Amino acid sequence: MRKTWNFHGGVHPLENKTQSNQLPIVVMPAPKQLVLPLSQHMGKAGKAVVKPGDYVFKGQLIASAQGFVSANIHAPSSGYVSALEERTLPHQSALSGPCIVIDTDGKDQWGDLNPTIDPKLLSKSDLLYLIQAAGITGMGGAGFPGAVKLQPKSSIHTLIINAAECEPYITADDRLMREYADQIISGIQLVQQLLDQPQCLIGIEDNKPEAIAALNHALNQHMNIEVCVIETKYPSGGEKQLIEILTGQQVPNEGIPADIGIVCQNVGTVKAVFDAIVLGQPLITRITTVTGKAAVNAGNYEVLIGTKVADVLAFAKVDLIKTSRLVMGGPMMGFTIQDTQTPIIKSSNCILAAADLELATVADHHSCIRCGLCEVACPAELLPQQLFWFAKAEEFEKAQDHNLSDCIECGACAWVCPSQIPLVQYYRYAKGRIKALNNETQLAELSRMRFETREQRLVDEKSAKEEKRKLRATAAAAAQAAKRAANPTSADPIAAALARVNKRKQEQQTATTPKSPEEVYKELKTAAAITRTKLNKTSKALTDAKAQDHEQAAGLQETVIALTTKAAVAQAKLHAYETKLGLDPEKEKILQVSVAKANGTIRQLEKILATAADPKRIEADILNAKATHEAATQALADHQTNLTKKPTSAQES
Amino acid sequence: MALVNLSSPHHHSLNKTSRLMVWVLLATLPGLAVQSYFYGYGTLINLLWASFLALGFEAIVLGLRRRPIMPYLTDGSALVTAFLIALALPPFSPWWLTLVAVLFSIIFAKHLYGGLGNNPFNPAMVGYALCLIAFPVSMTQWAGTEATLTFGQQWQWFWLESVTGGIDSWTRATPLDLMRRTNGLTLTEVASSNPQLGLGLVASMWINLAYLLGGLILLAARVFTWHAPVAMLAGLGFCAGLFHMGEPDLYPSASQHLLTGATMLSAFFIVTDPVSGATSRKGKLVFGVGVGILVFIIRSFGSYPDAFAFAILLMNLSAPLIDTYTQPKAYGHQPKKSRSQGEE
Amino acid sequence: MQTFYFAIVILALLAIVFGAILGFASIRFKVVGDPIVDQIDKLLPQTQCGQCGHPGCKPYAQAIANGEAINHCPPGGEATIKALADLLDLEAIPLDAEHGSEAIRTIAYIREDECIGCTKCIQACPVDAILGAAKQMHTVIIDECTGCDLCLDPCPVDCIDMIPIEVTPVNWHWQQPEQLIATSSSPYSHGAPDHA
Repeated sequence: MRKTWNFHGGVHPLENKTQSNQLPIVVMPAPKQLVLPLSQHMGKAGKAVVKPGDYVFKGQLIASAQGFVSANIHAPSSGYVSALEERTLPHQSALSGPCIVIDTDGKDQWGDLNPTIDPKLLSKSDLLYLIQAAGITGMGGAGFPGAVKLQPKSSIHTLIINAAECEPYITADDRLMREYADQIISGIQLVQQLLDQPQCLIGIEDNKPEAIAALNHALNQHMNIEVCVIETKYPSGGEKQLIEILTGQQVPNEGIPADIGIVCQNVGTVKAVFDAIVLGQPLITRITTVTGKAAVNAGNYEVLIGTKVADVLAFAKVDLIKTSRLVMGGPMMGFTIQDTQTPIIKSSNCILAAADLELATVADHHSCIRCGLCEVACPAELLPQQLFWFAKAEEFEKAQDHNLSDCIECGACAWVCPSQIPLVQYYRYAKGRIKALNNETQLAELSRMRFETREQRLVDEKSAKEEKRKLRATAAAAAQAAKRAANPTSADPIAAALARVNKRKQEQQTATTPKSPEEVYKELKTAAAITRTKLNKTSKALTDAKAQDHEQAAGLQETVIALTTKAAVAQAKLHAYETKLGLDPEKEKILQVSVAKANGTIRQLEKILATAADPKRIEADILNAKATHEAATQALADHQTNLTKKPTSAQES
Repeated sequence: MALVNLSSPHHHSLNKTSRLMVWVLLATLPGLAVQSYFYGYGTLINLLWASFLALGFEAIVLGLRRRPIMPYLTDGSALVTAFLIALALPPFSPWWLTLVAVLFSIIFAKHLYGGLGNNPFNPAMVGYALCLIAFPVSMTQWAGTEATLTFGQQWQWFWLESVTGGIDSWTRATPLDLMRRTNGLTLTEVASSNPQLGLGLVASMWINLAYLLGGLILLAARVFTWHAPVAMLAGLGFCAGLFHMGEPDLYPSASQHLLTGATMLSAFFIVTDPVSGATSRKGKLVFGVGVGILVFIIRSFGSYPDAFAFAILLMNLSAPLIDTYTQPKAYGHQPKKSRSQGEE
Repeated sequence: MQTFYFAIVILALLAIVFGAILGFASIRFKVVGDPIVDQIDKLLPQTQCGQCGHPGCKPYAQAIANGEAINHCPPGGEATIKALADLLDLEAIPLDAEHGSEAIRTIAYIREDECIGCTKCIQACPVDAILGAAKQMHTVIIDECTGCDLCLDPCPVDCIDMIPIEVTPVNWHWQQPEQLIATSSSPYSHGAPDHA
């Protein structure tokens, strides 16, 4: 027997495996409808390559991997794609996500399969391609795309097959090994071929004697594969824990097993590799345990990926009235689902339909007495109670200092806690918040940079403008100087300047002659406005001065009188021109006001509409108001076109 | 069918705080029995009185703090405090001494800090230390072992502090007290010259052995880990042995230190208090050794008859510091040499 | 008398020597720290929303360094106030309601078929997160939007909506468990040394 090691902590919950591991795997027929989430794995979601209405054969690619960490999805049965829509995902949040919905036609007709007759001849890249194409992801629970782990950057000396199945209740891998031992061994050999023939250790808990016997029977002397029986202790099936048990080595912090020359694969995953390469079948079914006191026919079922939980439960005769908690996955790490329309995905290894009192009740939790049982149980060698205090107090930095990120959420601490504190939920909360805070910090840093760049840009633009203006000025000055230099004989510059000014005046006058009447009107208007403002200002200054008995008052008085006449003259000029043009500013003002009023009424009515009791009537009112508004706008527009048309006619006349 | 939404794990060991507390209470019984055998009904009366007071105060304070009373009362922590106070107080302590100790420990040392789980000091030890400082005479009245009072006499003494026939002939200095005033004689010499002291030593030894038995039961029931008590006993034994080797006439031997006074009671029932102790296993070792050394120092050089209350309170003070420096290395944080745990 | 001069000379020499050492040390071991404004700026949420009355977070950071109150930042909320209080050794005060209240984070979306392409929102955006040109439809780069609201007012056709960030299975996380039987009013254990 091979030497094995022990990992720190761990617990021994009741196994509850005999309910489901007695009977052979039953193949469940294709249900009426299959729901396939585009994201069944870690990493990027796949991209649908079919559209509603398409007919798909069993095994046909329906969504393709996007990027390195992603996986293909295939049609589990033949039928028509009925929708691409949001459906409830098998996720703790019970949120929806994009799914491909297939209405099966019952024919279960395979598309073209490309089985490999002699896989030994396949090159490494061929093997990888086939695994990738078959959409294989980790079948143990996390669902990491399989091909990613199988192309490590460093050389691999040990391949570990995780057959521990340490979670209570689950027996899917147990039954799989009993019934498909040969396929599993062949699958392992294919993976060994891919990884340059490392030694292979199958880690299996000693509570599965039949599976151990089946595997040993399938092995022969010449294979570099060994079945390692380990003590039954939760969570020995955790990747890091299993590696420590079998090799005595610990995966370095923030590292991956490949860093120490180890690759770990679930036993279900190697079976899928066998199916993909030897049979040419993509990953479209899996073995799922249905168990719990509410399940009459508890056992293991081979179900199509995408089968709804409701269908599986009905097939296993689960009494939904007796079920108080539906857990997807095992009781230690699984998540509850509330919607039985949730589909089975590639990583769904168990559905636990628990009756009342079968699982831990929603107990009141007491305060932590720092008993330290959690520390004894923690397989990650953390201080769970300290993490709990930090998570509760939202002291996330301290939680990180105490290596919260190394927590594997196995639940051993919460299982032993005498105060029944939901410790794992506290850690998940803290982890989620830390992630969100980190995102926020990153976004803030980005925003800060963008803000600063923008400020800099604005400053640059301003200074560039200033620079241009200066350049123009100097250029003009230089041109003048050049002119003068070129023409030094011309008499004194003052005379020249005067001449220029006169010339310009003349030019201006000639330029003004063809001035459009609109411009004249505008000029007159401006002049009138300017004098009016001046007058207002001065008269105000005058009253101030008078109030203070200032000596300037007399001077100001004169200015005011002069300005008054000036304003009167300007106003008269403007008025004369207006009559000449046939304009009526009073009328325009009135029209403008009526437009604004109509506008206001519409707004008000719309506001009322939002909270109104009888929206029909108010809608009618709004329509009325809109009509009024339109009429008013039309009138105003007509009037303004007069302004542009009439002057021309006025000029002509 | 209302499906609940809960975070994993959905399983629980059904271990409860109250179960731990019940184990602790049960494990004190051998010690209680032996103590009563040698010293009469005093401890028993004290125990009932202290339990009554502790539950009463706990209920009152919980009410004042507007907390649910029954869940907290039934967690057993108040009873454990009461038991520890009653067992630590001398069998001859009168009613008011227990009252002061329980009142101070439940209200001041426990609830003013936020209740169970938040008290930095062991409540029972705070109450005990207060009495030791405030009422040294009453705290050192230990009965002789040659004859015990009847229940009636004890009852009378408990409430009135007088016994028909006088108490003087009943009280003695404790063996520990005598241990420090040997005037250069070894304990065996003292014992041979003073048969009563010899009897006291024997009684003390049996009581300690009874508590050791209780402690082993708790260890077997996995109520706590071995780290703190073993470290404390080792610390005390080592110091005592070392000094005894140097000056056997001045310093009693390690076995005498380990089997007199409240050594075993404190090692298994007080040092193991999780709330006020260190957290990690390494921390518990440091904590235990610290208590052991302090107990030896105070017993040998201090002016108090027994030292564990002060030693534990002092170490409670340093528990946070210990925690900071004994944080265990998490999985994968250091390349570990293969840690062999036997062949499979 | 000679002793007297001797003492003065010695003292003077000592003064020079130590002065030189200190001077050297101050240059050699100079602590290059962020200026306080940058440190404050780092703690601000960088929404650049101007709710504090300053045109951006950096100006507010400058103002705080000059003594302005630290509770004028609604997007940062209590957390920012606490962080600032820690940094500046001030007392954490509640958010000043005059500048707005703490709201959930939102992101601007332009209803694109209603956009007339006036570029007014582009000019208003403090982080250049709106893309578009005159008479062309505009759109918000949602990854860079800070949710500052500043583009809403300038829009002449009111086609910008502030929509809370969507919860997806990726950013969803558990909430703290409800305290069914709460004991500790103070969340600190004595496991944290600074609270013991």
